[in-house]
This record gives sequence, structure tokens and C-alpha cells, in this order.
Amino acid sequence: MGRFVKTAAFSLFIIGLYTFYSVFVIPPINPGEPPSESAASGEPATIVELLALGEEVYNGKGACALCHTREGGRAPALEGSALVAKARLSSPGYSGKAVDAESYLYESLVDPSAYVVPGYGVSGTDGGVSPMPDVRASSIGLSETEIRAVIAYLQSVSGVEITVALPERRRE
Amino acid sequence: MTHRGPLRCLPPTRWLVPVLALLASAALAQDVLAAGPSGYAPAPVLSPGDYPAIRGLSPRLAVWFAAQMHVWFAAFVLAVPIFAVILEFVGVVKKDARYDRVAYEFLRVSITAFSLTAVTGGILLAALIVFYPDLMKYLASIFGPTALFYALFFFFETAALYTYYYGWKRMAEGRLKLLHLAVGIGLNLSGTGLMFVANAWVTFMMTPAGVDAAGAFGGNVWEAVNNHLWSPMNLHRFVANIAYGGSIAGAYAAYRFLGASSEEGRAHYDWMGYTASLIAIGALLPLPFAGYWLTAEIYSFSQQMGITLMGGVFAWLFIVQAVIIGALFLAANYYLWCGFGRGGYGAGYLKYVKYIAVVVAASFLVWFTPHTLILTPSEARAIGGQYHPYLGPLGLMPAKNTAVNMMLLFTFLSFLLYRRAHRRPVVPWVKYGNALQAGLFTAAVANISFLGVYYGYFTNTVYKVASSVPQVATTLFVIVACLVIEWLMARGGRSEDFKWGRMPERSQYALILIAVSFTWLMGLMGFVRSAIRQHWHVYSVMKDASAEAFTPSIAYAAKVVSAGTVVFLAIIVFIFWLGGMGQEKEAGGDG
Amino acid sequence: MALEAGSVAMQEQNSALRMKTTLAFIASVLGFGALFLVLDLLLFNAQGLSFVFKG
Repeated sequence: MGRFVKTAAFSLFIIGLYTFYSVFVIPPINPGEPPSESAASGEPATIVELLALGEEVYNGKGACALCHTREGGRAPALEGSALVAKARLSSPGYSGKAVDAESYLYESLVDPSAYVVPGYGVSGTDGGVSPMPDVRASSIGLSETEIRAVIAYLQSVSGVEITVALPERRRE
Repeated sequence: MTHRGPLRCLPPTRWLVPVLALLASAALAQDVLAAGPSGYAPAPVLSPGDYPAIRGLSPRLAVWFAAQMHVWFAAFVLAVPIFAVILEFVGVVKKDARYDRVAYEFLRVSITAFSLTAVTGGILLAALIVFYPDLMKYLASIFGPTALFYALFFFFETAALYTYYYGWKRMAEGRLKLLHLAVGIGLNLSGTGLMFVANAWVTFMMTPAGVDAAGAFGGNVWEAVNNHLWSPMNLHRFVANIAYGGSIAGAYAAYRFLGASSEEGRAHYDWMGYTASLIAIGALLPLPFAGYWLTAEIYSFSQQMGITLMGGVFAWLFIVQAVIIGALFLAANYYLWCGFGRGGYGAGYLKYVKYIAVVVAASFLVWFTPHTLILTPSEARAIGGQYHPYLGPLGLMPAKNTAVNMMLLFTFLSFLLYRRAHRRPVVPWVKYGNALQAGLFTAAVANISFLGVYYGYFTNTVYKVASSVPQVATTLFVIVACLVIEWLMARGGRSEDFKWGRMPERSQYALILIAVSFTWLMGLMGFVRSAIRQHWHVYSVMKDASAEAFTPSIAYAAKVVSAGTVVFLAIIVFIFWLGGMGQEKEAGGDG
Repeated sequence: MALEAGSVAMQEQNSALRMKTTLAFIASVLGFGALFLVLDLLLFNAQGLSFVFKG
């Protein structure tokens, strides 16, 4: 019986140690609640609201910032994306249908493979396929308004004029 | 030669389950065929009201616990026949009865676990149908036909198990022995097939295939089965099961060793513990590569899911994993060092132990340094990046890859010295052979460090990831080349038999630690595998709308896993105790 | 190692042997080192990367 008690106590000690480490040593992180269907409480009425929504989606529901960081190097940084957008249209690797900077950004969000920044393609496709999903796809599931808001946010961080129309005006 | 007492009452479940599964699959197949190829609806969109509730019972916890128990038992019962057959085969080839005896003993004490696998599987299925009826309906509409295969594999496995177990003594000689081995292989094939079918369902929930964006099934079952994660998961679970079974067998032997009263009993269980843990560690070593494939497939299916896994809220879970793997390495090394005493020349090598210990411990610390501190993208921005300002460099993947390769190399060195403890090479070029091996190690350490430092810190991400491949290749090359040199040097050498049983008692606790850690780690990694689906039943296709759709914290998961581990190990101990009762009479108390 | 040599001859022999094994060690470090470099080169190539990083 002695060995049973000894080995059981030893096993419980090990399990306890692992539990203690996981509960008390590593920082307590509570994963966020599942995202709601839409990050927007209503349609943004002003450019300020549109930009706020864009920033929120960029860092939250859209999960853009997960890959588009300077440190990770997994996807190109987007601080100047709206600046270079126009030039991309005439780049030899471009295969999309966009006509201006804004429509280029829109296309990059819904059809990321239309232009893949050199070095960021899926390996084995010779830069032809982007690893990024269509942001309308259900794992991210951005609405049309949210996509516009993200484009406006990108234009704002790039320091160019915001050309995205507010939802009301676009509908006219 | 049959087992007695309480075991008798369990067998009916083994027959009942395949028959039920067969009936259920026939019914499902009819449903599916009646629906026709155009009858597939998109995945249902649920609301909280669609989930039946039982007051005071958390549906997710109930399903989690049942699934965890089932997976532990299943891993165990899939593993036991694998190495029962391996040991039986080795016994036939080496004409050494010890292997046969251990194989049979282990199968005998584990036989009840087969029933318990079926029972826990039944509980899991019931819990899923009760608490997640719409999900199960959706999955059944796609995978209905596969249930037939499941039932068939189950039927063959049960039949083969009975023949294999009850025929062991009757089919012990000549051609019958070979037939018996063939039955054992059949048992393993059907068991593995069974797992592959179940894996298809699980992996579909993570990386659905064969359905459109709304979840409407295209009608091709094979496409749904052969989704991104199916093959890597099959491989990963297959290898991990062997490691797991080995670790449990090792703990069993350790426990019997501690209680053995005779020299002969100690020697037998010492040998069994060593053999079993050798299988466990041997299967553990390729596991990271299978894991790498699994992760790569997750990334290729969805970058988002991959980053959730490796860089998001679960980053710390991998720190916990690293701690446990480090503990496993230390325990394995410790066990090998204790084993130096089994051979006549071992004492001479003890002086190297402290150096190996320093390297393994240092690698462990690097391996254990937090890598990503990113919690949410906004927090990452607040601290100015994903990495810790001071520990950052050590926390990066290149440092960890370097550390883990060092750990593998030096554990292998422990193993080499352990072999030398009872084998003294006498070929005329011994000194040169040793110099060659030392040179090989030195060059390998230099190459791995160079790859880790240069490509890890002075180049871009693509190179950081790519440099891990030659690192691993270097380690594998050293292991293979060293074994070849060792084999050439050992020719004609003096080797004395190991003095089995000449082990300090404390060494046996290393084996128990390995088994407990494996169990716990399996639970934890099973949690993360399932948790990266986040609030989805079927990722990106069918949303979890229940009140428990949120992802639980690691702390909560750790508590659930710990409770599960205690319950599971208690049941296993009870099973071994049951299985040991008949044997103690028969073997005349060597245990 | 229990190589306690008594005679001068033995000592000379030992030091010669030590010299030779040291040389063998250095040679194998260099040899395997070169082999590993070739291996690295091939494995980087196989992944579509150049072994010598530019930029």
C-alpha cells in the first residue's frame, strides 16, 4: 500500500504543479467574446464615425492587425497602402480591374490575389496567390459598410485624402 | 487461461456497440440516399434557443469531459495492440520469450480498457446528440455513409481482439504463431481505420471541405473526409498513440518494479519499463515533425486560424507545453543516467552527466522563455510590437528551434553513453571513431547555432522559417551517422549483459512522471486543437450560437484537464488492479 | 581513461596517439562542417531560397 500512496501522491503533485503553472504563473487571459454580427451600432453618419469604425474593425473583427504588423513580417505593413495604391495599378504583376486607389484597396480586401506584393505570396505559387482570405468570407465576414470604413481608415493612416463616401451619400 | 470475475460482465458492450452503430449507419445512409444529391441544405444558422439545457449542467463541459475520456482510452487501446504486436514479433525474431510474456501481460491487463473505450464513446455520442442536436444532424447529413465503415472497422477490431487475446496460448507454436501475428496486424489495421474515420469528422469541423461557403454539402463524401487536416491528424494521432501507450506501459512496469519482492521480478519489470519507455520516447521524437505538418496545414487552410493558434490568446499555452516537454526530456535523461549503473562500464561516463544536464537545462530555459506576448491586436500596438523588449530575442522561434535541436542532440548523447555503459568497443580504430563522433557533434552544434543565429536574427521571416529545416536535418543526420559509426565500432566488441533490476527506486518515478505528463499534455493540446475553432461548430461554416460559444481561458482548460487526468488515471489504476488479480496467483507472486 | 603509462616509450606513443586523435577530431569537424554547409545550401535551395542572404 505504501508504494500506492507514494506514487499517487507523486502523480497528484505533478498534476498540481502543471495546474498551478497554468492557472497562477502564466498571465490570466480571457479570450474575448465572439464578435457580434456587425461591429457598427448603426450606419456611420460622419467621416469621424466612419474612421472610428474602420479602426475598430481593423484591430478587432477584421483581424487585419493579426498579420499586417511590422514585426511579424507575415503580410505587408499598411501604413502607406493608400499612397502606393495608385502605382500598383500599372505594376506588371497586377491582374485586377480596379481603376483608382480606392477601388484598388477595395479589390485588395475582397480579391487579395489580384495583386500580391512580391515576397508575400503563398509559397509554391511563385507569388501568384495571396494567403489572405476574402474579408467577406464567413470566417471574418465584414459587411460592405465595414469594408468601406477600413478603406477610409487606411487612407487616413496613409495621410491621403479620404475618398470613401459615407453610406448615405453613396446610396443616392 | 481466461480472466475471471468483474471482467465477465463487461463484454456485452463490445458486441452491442457495433450492432447499434451498424443499425444507426444503415438508418443514416437511407436518410442521405433519400435526400438525393440536390437535397443538401446549407449549414443551419442557430440561435441560443436551439440548444437543449439541463439545469446545473454545462453542456460544453459534459461533452468536453466525455470526449477527453474517450480519446484517452482510445489512444491507450489503439497503442496497446501496436506494441503488443511489435513485442511479439521481436520475440519471434529474437527467440526470446521475455518479449512474448510482456506483450501478453500488457494485453491482458488492458483488456477492460477496450470496453471502457466503447462505453465512453457511447457517452460522448449521447452527450453530443442531447446537447448539440442540430450540429449532429448537420454532420450526419454529410458523414452518414462513413458510419458504415466505422461499424465495420469496429466489428473487425472486436473480432480480431478476441481471437488475438484468447488465441495467444493456443496459437503459440509454428505456423499458428505466424497466423496469430497476422491476426494482431489485422487488429491494428482495423483499429487504425476506426480512428481515421473518427478523425475525418473531427477535422471536418476544423477545416471543412466539400461544402460551399454557406456549408451546403457538394455531395462528395471523400472530399469532406480528405480535408486539410485529415492526413496530418491521422499521422499525428497514430504516432502519439504509440508514445502514449509506451508511457503508460512504462508507468505500469515502474509501479510493479517498486512492489517487486524478488530479484527476478525487479529485473523483469525494470526491463519492461526500459523497453516501454524506449518505445514512448522513440515515438515522441518524430512527433514535432507531424505537429509541424499539422500546423502548416492549419496555416494553409486559414492564416487567421494559424495565427490564433500560434500568436493569439493561445501563445501562452505553448509555453505550458514547452514546460511539460522540457520536463519530459529531463525525466528521460535522468532515467538514462540512472541506467548507467546497469552496465559494467557506466561509472566511467557519470562524469559527463553534469555537462549534458547543463546543456539540456539551458535549452529548456530558452525553450521556456515566453515568445509572443501579444494578447489582442490593440494590446500588441500598445506595447509596440509582439515581442518582449528584453526577452524578445530568446523568445523568438529561431532560438527555440535551436534549443530544441540541442536538447534532442544531447538527449541522444545520453543514450549513446548509456549504450556504452555495457559495451566496450575493441576495434583498432576506437580512438579515431570517438574523435569522429566528437567531431560530428561539434560540427552539428556549430551548424545548428549558425543557422539559428544568422538566419534567425539577420534575415527576414522567410529565412527564419526556412532555416529550421536544415537544423532538423542536421540533428537527424547526427543521429543516423552516429548510430552507424557506433554499430561499426561495436563489431567484435566486448559487451556484458545489462544487470536488469540494478536501478535506484527513484529512477522509476521518472517513468511515472512521463506517463502523467503525457496524459496531461494530450488533454491540453486536445483543448487547443478544438479551441482554435473559436465560436464555430464547423469553422467558418456553422456558428456556435450557444451561451458557451466563447473560448475558455487556459486556466479554466488546465483545471478541466487536471480533473480529467486524475479521473482517467484512477480508472486505469483500477483496471490494472483488476487485471493483476488473476495473474498474481498464476505467476507465483513475482509482482 | 586509465592510461597510466610507465615507460617513456609508452608516453611518447600516447602523445603521438593523442596528437593523431586530435588531428582526426579537427579533420572530422572540418569535414562534417563542410558537409553540413552543403546540406544547408541544398535545403535552402529546395525551399526556393538562396543560401547567401542578400539584402
